[in-house]
Amino acid sequence: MTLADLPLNTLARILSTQLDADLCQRLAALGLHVQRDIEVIRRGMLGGPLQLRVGSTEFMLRRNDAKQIMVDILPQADSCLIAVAA
Amino acid sequence: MKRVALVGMPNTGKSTLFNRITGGMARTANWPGLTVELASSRILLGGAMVQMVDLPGIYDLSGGAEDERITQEFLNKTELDAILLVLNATQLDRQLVLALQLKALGAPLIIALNMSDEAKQAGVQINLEGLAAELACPVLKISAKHGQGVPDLKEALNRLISQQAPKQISLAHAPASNTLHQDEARLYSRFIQRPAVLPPGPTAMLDRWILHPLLGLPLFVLMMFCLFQLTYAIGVPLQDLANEGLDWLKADVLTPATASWPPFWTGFLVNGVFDGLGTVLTFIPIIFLFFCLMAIIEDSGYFSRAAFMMDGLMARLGMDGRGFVMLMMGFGCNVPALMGTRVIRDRKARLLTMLAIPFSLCSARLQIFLFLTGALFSPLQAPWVLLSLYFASIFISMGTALLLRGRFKSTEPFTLELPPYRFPVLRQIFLRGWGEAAGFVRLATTMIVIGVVLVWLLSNYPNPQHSYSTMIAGFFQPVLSPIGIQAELSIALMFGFVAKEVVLGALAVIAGQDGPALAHHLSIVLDPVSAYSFMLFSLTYVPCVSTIAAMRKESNSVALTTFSVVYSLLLAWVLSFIFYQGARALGF
Repeated sequence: MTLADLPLNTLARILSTQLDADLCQRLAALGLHVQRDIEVIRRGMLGGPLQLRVGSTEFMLRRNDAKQIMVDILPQADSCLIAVAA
Repeated sequence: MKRVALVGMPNTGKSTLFNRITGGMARTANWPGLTVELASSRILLGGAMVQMVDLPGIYDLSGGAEDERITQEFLNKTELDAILLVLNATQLDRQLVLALQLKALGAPLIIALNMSDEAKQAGVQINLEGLAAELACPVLKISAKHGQGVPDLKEALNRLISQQAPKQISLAHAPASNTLHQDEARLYSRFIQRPAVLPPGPTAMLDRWILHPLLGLPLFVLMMFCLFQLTYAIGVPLQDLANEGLDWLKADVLTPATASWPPFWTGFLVNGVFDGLGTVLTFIPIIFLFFCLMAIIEDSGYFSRAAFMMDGLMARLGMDGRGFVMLMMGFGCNVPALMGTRVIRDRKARLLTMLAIPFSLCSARLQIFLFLTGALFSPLQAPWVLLSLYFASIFISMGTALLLRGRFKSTEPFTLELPPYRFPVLRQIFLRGWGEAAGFVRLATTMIVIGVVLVWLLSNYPNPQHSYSTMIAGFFQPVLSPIGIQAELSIALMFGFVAKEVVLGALAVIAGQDGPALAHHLSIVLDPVSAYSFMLFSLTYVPCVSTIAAMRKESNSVALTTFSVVYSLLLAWVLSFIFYQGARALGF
C-alpha cells in the first residue's frame, strides 16, 4: 500500500519511494528512506499534509507525495513501539 | 586568522550554540563569492583570534536542493581550521550521515551532540568514546540552550585548531548519502541505546489540542490575535514615546538651530531627512517586539504546526503553510512579515509570498478605515464595512498568489520538521529581535529617507500653494475621477506613499479641519460609495515606502519591487473602478 493509505498510528516499513530527486534526498535526510519504519500520526484538514514519524523525528509531507511511497505494515505493529531500523 | 565554520541540519540548535560561543555579538556580512549574508563573529580562543561562521542549516553535503547551495559553496571555497558539526543528540539515527560524509572528505572535524539534556530525558544513552574512535574526531555532549559542555567544547576546538593546518575540502568528492545509510545504522546500533517503548510525551499531548481538526484553527487565530495585541500593547506606547521625543527634537532643537539657513535647506533637513529618519525610528520598536514574539513562536515549535494546519489550503494557491502564517503577520505590519518570509527557503516560493503580503490590511491602514467608516457609515453598518475590507484583503492576497503562481513555481522539496515543543531561550529571543531591528535600520534607512524627502519636495515646490503634488493630482484627475477620488483625496493618497499613518494627517491639513470636524467635512465631500472606493484603493495600492524598502532589501531585486508597486497601483485602480462604476450603475 502507499503511505497515503496507511492507517494512523500503525508502524510500517518503507519499501520504495518514487519521488523527484530533491524531495527524495530531503526525506532521506529526515530519516525517510527504504528499510526504515514509519508511522502516520495525523492527517491535516482540508486535504492537508500528513504528520509522519520516523525514528525520533516528526515531519509533514503532502498527500500527493505520500502516494509515491510504498510501505508494508509490520506484522506486530504497535503504536508505542518506536523501532529504529538496524 | 583562524576560521571555524558551524555546520548542521536545521533544528539542531546550531545558531543557539553559535550565540553561546560568541556571546551573541554576530555581524552579518557579505562573503566574497556568495550572494547572501552570513553571520560571523571573532572570538578569543586560547590566546588567538578565531573567526566563527554560522552556516545555514544543511541536510546533505552532496547534491541537495537550492537552499543548501550556500553552505556547500562556502565549504567548497573556504579554507577552514575546523568544521564544528552540530548534531541533535535525540536524532542521531538520521544525522550521523553528515559526520560520515565529512569524515570521508577528511575534514578537520569536531562534533557537538547538542540537546544532550533532551536525549538524557528520553533515556538515550550515547557511547561518546566509541563514536569518537569510529569517526576519528572529538565528540562532545553539550546543551547549547543551558550552556552545559560548552567550555569543554571550546577547549577541544582550541586543541584541534592549534594542532593542524587549515584545510579546504572539495564536496565534489563527498560520498552520496544513500550509500552511507547502512554505515549510519550500524554506527547507531553500536553506540547509541534508546528505550524501545516510549510513552507519549508532552508534545504528543499538546499536539492533540493544537492540531485538533476543529479547535486547531480558532486556536491559531487566537494566537495571532494575541501576537498583534501584545506587539501593539507594548509597541505603540514606545512608538508614541519615540514620536514625542522626535517632535521635541524637531521643534526645540532642530528648527531653532537651522533658522538662519536658506529655507530650502531647512525644509530639506527638517521636513525631509529628519522626518525620514523619524519614520525609520518609529518602526524599530514594532520590528523588535514582533520578532521577539516571532522567535517565541518559531523556537517553541508552534510555527511549523501552524504551517501544517494551513498547508492544505495554501498548496492550492501555489504557496505553502508558512506563507499563510506570514500573510497573517502582515495584518499587523507588512514590513516584518516581508522580512519573516526568510523562513521559506525556496526563492521563488518566497518571492510569491512577498508579492501577496503587501495586500494584508495592516494596522496603519486600519486607522484610516476606522476613521472613514466611522465618518460615513452608521454604527450598525460600519463594522460590516470594515469586515468586508478584511475579506477583500485576504481575497486580493490569495488571488494575487493564484494569478502569479505559474511564474513562481517552487522547486523546494516541501517537507517541514515538526520538532518537539520547547521553551524558547530568553537570550535567543532578544538577540533575534535586536538583529532584525538592526538589519532593518541598516538596509532600509536610505530608501525611506529618500522617499520622505521626495514627498516633501513634491508637496512644497515650486511653491506650497501650487506644488508639484497638486500638479500631479491634477494630472491624474482624469484617471482618478472615474473611481470617485477627488483632487484633495488624491494628494492624501500621495502622502500615503510615505506611510499610511500620514493619510489622515494629510487630509486634516488639506481640509484645514481636524477630528470630528474632518469627519463631518468628509461626510459632505464623500458619499458611502466614493468613500468605499477610496478605502479599496488605499487597501490595495503600495502600502508604504518602508514596505517597498523591505521588499527591495529582502528580494534583492529591483525588478520584483518595481513590479509589485506597479501591479498594486494598477490593481487598486481596476478594483476601485469596477466597484465605483458598478455601484453607480446599480443606482447607489
